[in-house]
Amino acid sequence: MKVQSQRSYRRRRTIRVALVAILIVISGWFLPSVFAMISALIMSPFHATNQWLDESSSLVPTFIRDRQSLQEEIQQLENQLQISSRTSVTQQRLLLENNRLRGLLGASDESRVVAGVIARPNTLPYDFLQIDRGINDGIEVGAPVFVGTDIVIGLVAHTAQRYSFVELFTTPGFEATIFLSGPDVVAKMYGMGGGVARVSLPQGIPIQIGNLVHVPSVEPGVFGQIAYIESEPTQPEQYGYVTPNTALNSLYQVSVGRVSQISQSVEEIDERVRKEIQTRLVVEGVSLEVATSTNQATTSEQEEI
Amino acid sequence: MTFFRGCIAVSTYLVIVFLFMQGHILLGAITVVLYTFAFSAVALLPLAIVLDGYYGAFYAAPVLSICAIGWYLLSETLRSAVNIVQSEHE
Repeated sequence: MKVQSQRSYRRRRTIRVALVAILIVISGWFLPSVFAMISALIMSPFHATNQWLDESSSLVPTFIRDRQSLQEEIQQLENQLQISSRTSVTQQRLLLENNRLRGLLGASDESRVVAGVIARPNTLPYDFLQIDRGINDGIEVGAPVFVGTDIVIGLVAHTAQRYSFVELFTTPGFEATIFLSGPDVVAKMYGMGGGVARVSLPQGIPIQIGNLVHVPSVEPGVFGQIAYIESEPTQPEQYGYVTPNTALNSLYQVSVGRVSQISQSVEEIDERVRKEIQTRLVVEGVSLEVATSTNQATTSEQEEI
Repeated sequence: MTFFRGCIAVSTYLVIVFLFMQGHILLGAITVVLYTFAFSAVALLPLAIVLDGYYGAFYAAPVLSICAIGWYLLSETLRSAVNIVQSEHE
């Protein structure tokens, strides 16, 4: 009986407290500014402490903030790791698909000759490489030189019986038409020497550090990445400086392709197409002549046509 | 309530305040549950109302206050149910 009365008392008290709280909340709804003012007054010491935790450079707040930022960084890195692992799977799938499609199209793999690097730019006067393969091994002048699978670094400039010289894209005065992925533009690349080439583009094209530089004339051909950007708003052009992905001093072996791997340049193809279009509408043997009054003359002219 | 128990109650209460103010909602909710079972949820009602007022929630919907009232009712119902079971076993 006593337990029953205690229980009912507790229940009544709970309901009373809940009703009072609901009443306060409803009155707060009707008078939000008054509640905000009273709450701000009550919370002022807590507000000050919270500000101290957020902004102070003391030991404890700094420790708490550093911990939070480290946790956020760990979370971000874990997300990036997940994304990159998925990307690598995607790359593998695309590689397999590419090989399969090349097989279906009958595209044969190009043959390459592996050559050791005898001399490098720091021992040779310009941006040249000397390799230990020559005419005897089937090296041709103009053949592309690769590092790895698809990084093209230059062309064979001279061949002897047992050695060859490779002119790097970074040789001063070397010009090549490149395709810059990212802004997706075609531009001219000029060799600057010292393992650096320069791409000049008009202002306003959004180039970024890390944009890949493709050499579309060579298949497959990636040269490197934009490593530095020189852009002054007052100048009409901006420059992207390109370096190969592999340091030239660390080159030990390269592979030399065939001249047939270099396709026609875009300009040449464009010129040919333009000529073709211009000459297509011209019909040979058609000439406009002045018509005469005699029937015989007209007949003879018609026969000519 | 002993002095030691009172100190623990006050410090836990302050921890709840700062956890909510720092935005650690999940940790705050866990501490609220522990606080309710160790002490009572009545003290959480004014805290929720003041926090709602401080963040201007009364201009829209005072979610924290409504949750606190719901949590208070639920915890008191559970507490009375547990007491009934205890009294029946005694």
